[in-house]
Amino acid sequence: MNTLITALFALLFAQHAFTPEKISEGGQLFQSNCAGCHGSAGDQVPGVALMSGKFRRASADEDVARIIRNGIAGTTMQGFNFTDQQSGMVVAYLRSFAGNSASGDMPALGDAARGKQVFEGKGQCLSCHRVGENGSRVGPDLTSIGAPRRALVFFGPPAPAPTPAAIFQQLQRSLLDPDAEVAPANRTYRAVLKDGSAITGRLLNLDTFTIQLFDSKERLMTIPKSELREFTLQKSPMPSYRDKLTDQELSDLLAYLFSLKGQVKQ
Amino acid sequence: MKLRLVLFLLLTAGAVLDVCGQQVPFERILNANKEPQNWLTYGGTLFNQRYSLLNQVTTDNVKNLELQWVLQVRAMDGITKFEATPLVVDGIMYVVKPPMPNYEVVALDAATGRIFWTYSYTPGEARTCCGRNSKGVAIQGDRLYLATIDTHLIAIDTKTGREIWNNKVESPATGTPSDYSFTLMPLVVKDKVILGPAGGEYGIRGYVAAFDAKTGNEKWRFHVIPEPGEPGHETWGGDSWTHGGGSIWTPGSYDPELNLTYWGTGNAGPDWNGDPRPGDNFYTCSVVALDADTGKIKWHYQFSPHDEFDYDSTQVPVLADIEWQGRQRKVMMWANRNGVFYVLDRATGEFLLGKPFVKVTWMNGFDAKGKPIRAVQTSTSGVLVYPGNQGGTNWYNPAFNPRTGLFYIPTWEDTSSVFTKSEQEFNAGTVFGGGRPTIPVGLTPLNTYARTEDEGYYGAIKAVDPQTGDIKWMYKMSQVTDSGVLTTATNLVFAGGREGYFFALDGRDGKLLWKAMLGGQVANGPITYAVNGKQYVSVAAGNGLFTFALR
Repeated sequence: MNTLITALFALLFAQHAFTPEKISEGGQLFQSNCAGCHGSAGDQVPGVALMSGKFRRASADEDVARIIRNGIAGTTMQGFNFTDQQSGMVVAYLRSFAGNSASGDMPALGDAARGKQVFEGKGQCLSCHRVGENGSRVGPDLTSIGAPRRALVFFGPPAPAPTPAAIFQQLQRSLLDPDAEVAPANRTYRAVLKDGSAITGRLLNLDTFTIQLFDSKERLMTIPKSELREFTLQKSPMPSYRDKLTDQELSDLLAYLFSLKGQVKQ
Repeated sequence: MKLRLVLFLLLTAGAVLDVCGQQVPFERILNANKEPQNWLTYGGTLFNQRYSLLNQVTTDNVKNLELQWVLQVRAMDGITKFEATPLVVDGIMYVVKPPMPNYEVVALDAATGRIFWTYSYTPGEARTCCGRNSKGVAIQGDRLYLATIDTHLIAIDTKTGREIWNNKVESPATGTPSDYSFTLMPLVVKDKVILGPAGGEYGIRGYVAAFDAKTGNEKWRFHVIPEPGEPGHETWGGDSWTHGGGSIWTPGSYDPELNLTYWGTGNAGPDWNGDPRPGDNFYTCSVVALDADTGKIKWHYQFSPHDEFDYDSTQVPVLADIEWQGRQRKVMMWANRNGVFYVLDRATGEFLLGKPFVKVTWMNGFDAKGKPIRAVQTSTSGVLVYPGNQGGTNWYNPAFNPRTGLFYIPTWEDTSSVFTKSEQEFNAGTVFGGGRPTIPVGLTPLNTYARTEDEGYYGAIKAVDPQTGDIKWMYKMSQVTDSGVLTTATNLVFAGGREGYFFALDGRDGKLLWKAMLGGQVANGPITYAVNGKQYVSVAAGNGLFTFALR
């Protein structure tokens, strides 16, 4: 709760105290007026990524707001007849996508280098998971597991990026209680076909006629629903590491996982 | 090769040149069912049944449909969809591409997909809640009529694509100009082009307005919300009527014998908090029957009085002359976003039947006059309601087949929202919502996400018997659908869904007869037409318009 309040406060402060409703309105203004050229994710104009703070001719909020109102002469960026308040809301909406640096109640981290050894050695994590070019593809890829991922929201303000503390807590829960929360794309199913054969794998997708599985032999497969005899959700094949690792090893392992932001040196 | 090309062009153009004077005088639109090879209005005829008399494609041979051609449009943003219904006249198809960023109206050869001309218009500032959408262009005489998101009405020459006139429609006194937008296909009645504005989330005051088809001059305007002194004004409090919504974003229908044009109206504003607008809020969430010459209201029926769940009644009114419960009647059939199927007498507005076609918890039956008995109110702490904010169905068109006697509805089954209201002042130029619904099923134009659960909500094409409101059969999909439905005299039902499938069902029992994977969600109503005796079926999915015929 404290983390949430801290994060919320930091978010509001960073965005000149625009309320979630105002940020939402900024989002509506953006999607109606700007997305046509910039794309709904703000990254369709080369060299510009509005949601990541990557602008060609501005950096401060005031600059961005001014460009929205005045346009850029000699380019296709027209000026929009927005009030200061409206252009500010659009900027707040764009800024709301930036990662939040508030630390919350982030615990002290262990040693990531030692954690890497646990990951690759005693923990045997690579037998199911992959980091960069190493390991198995059967379980979720962990190459960027320490980076913030944002929930998608339609109607209303975008969800704030998770705080480091929240990421840390989620990693910790996955290690200690892996069945507590499994993302839909990581759920393991067992399919028994009408001929009696069985396939276990992650459910990637389904529609009216078929299911798409990634099986334990790293095969991408489609199975017609008409051929299914049984199709059941399985417990996560991931073991709990609560009693398998010492507190120090767990702390180091978490530090290593937290360091995985998508850039992996081999 | 050259000779073949010239010959081909002569043959294709021949049909057009045959018609002396105006290409599509209103008499042709009035009698559109006498030329089933063409598709002259949004729903095929002025009754909007989306029922075709073409009979080459049957339940036996539909499995032999194969792709003939594709029209691609520019990649769209995260929310705009290819919603346009094409028109087909004597071998020429007219269709409008979504404004990304400019509208393109194209005239193409309906048999080959080759383009004859393109008209382009780049709209100015526009505020749209739900995408830069267009449901198509209307035709009358030698002109196409395009209504745009920056509230222009544009007349275009059918033969050359030249702009004849381009008028900015005057905006009402309240709100800002860009709060109003046109996303519908206009309706042509006699010498008038009729339309209304979207903007139900921006505090507009909705209207239906008729414009002279020749000059573009406004001839009449019906305000969805009555002003002081008009009957129905008492259903509003304070100045809430000036920004109370009542948007129009699907085309109306027309009965020539009654000379009435029927329009479905959008939600009251603010959407999710009815406190600032005490009363029933006439004529939002209603159907209004207007004199086609004057715009005067003849009758109305309100589907969702004092709406707080965004249950727009912006569905296309489906008209039919049928025997209903033993008596020949002029009826109107309506599958509403609020989850209830209705049959009304369209001469008088009399309520004949109302029955839910999906799970409904917002109401609990009707009183003696056919007014729904409201079961829940929104609150500041949130209330769970079925159907959800996106409704049991929405703007995508249903179809009625006089042969099977069944009414086909694209439905969202078992969807719900938690509606939470909050106080909100009206501020022109900003969202006027007064709260928020949860949207468990997002809006997405393309099939870009994975579905990994087959439980809970789902999409279905449902066949309803208008005599009883009973559901005769249901074709269930894993994902919901934004597709319209087409039905034919050979008992076929065509529809699609978000998964990217376009399919044909047997209209008598819902059995799947054929399907094609098009790789993007179907979000328009399919049409069928014929060129040189060959029947085609055309549907938009994702960023393309796909046209099929028998191999």
